[in-house]
Amino acid sequence: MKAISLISKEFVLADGKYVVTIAVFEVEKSKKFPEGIKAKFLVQDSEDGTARLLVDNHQPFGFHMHTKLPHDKDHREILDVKDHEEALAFFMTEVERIIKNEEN
Amino acid sequence: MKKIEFLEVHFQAFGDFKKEVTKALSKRVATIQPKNHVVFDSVASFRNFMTIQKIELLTTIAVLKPSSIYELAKLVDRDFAAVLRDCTGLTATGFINLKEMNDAKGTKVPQLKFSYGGIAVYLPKSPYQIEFKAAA
Repeated sequence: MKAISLISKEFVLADGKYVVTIAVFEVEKSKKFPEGIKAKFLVQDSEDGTARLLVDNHQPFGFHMHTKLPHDKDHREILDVKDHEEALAFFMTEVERIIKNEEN
Repeated sequence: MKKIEFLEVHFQAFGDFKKEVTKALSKRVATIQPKNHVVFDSVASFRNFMTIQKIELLTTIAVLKPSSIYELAKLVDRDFAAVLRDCTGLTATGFINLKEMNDAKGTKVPQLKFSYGGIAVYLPKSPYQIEFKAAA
């Protein structure tokens, strides 16, 4: 089964300083993606092009976030969420926190 | 006469964006943003981002097609670091691509995301358009 794009959205905020990307694909169920969903939630700093926060899902980690990109791609913090919706809600809260910190 | 294609700038509140993607995920509804759309959180945000210098870069890229960021910097008479920073921002937000040439110098060619001839800004009330033209 070829990956089918389910959600593909980009959103620019905070005077263009950050770009939020939501990309969700339906993929064949496998050990890596047992639910058949591959998700990537990204906040990118548009000034230097680096990823500020990346949340994605694959086994053996489940949903996890990368907070030390681009220097440490292997650093992951596992998220205590039960499904994609909770992971997205967590991500959106983090986006709001990033923007709020930017404003202060 | 060839019809001019526009890159469209749209606006959506962050809360509405959040609701839209959350609903799309929970209902498994396909939600694909058109390739020619860029969405900002507010008109003020777009205005602060899209400086005159960035519009000049876009126009120069569209009209003069520079073969590197260095050449682009020379064409607009600005320092390379500032042009690189603006190009990085324009790339991240979806206005241009930086095509890697994989040569020894690591050249990146600034190109419009697609061959659009202008930007159409869809204000919450009425759209207006800016068409790229070389200065006389």
